Amino acid sequence: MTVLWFRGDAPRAHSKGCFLNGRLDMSLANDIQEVGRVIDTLEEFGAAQGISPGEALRFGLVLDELITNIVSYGLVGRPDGVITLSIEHDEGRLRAELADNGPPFDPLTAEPTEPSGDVADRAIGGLGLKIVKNVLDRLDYRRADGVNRITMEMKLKAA
Amino acid sequence: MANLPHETLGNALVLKPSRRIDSSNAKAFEDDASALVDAGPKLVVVDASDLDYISSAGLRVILTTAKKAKAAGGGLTIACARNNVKEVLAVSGFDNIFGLHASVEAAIASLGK
Repeated sequence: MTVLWFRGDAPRAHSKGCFLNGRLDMSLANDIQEVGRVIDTLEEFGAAQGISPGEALRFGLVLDELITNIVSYGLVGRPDGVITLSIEHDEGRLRAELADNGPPFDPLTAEPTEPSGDVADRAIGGLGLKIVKNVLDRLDYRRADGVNRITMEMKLKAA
Repeated sequence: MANLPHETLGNALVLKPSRRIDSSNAKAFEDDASALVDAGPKLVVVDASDLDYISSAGLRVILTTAKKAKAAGGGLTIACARNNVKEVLAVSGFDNIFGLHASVEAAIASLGK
């Protein structure tokens, strides 16, 4: 596996993310299997931060959908593709930034819809983004310095 | 044999996925469910009691399983969804499309109609 590091990122060799002061940083390979590791790690992070398991999983769902779009569309055919993920917890909010080194790709507009087919086929079309928008309070995409960056925020429900 | 927890109740196949159906394991669910539908009953209930999480990739494989069951003369419905799973089923409209039942027994009865 080839791993490229973004400018300013120090290489970290670990299988799980490390989380200090309410922050979690991970570097992900361009592989759909990484989604399972992200959610496992987010569950641990949430437990360490006193976030309810349900709320941690809701945020994990958003990351699942967005990482899936990046791996399935933006970074397709890019063995050198790397995704970095940073998550922060503070003041009752979870924030995350997803960055990747692929070609310009806005996952907020890139998910194909399936206008044909039966009612269930149509329900599936664009569903990932619908789920993402249902959960998040903020979502932004920008392209700068050859990197795609998605930032997002979710207010935690009071326990 | 499939790793997906399941049982046969009367003339129905009850699939009982646990923890999560996410992008990384949706394919495994699809393969297991497909083999079970080929080999067993075509009336399928997805019992979501033990499921904490489902993504759009998970709904996609529920849909392919439903199509397979329907093509074989059966059908698929969902029972006992909780919390996040219930929310995703509502956002997608899958709760109305496939039906969401409070018990496995009610789900099986709805398929028999």
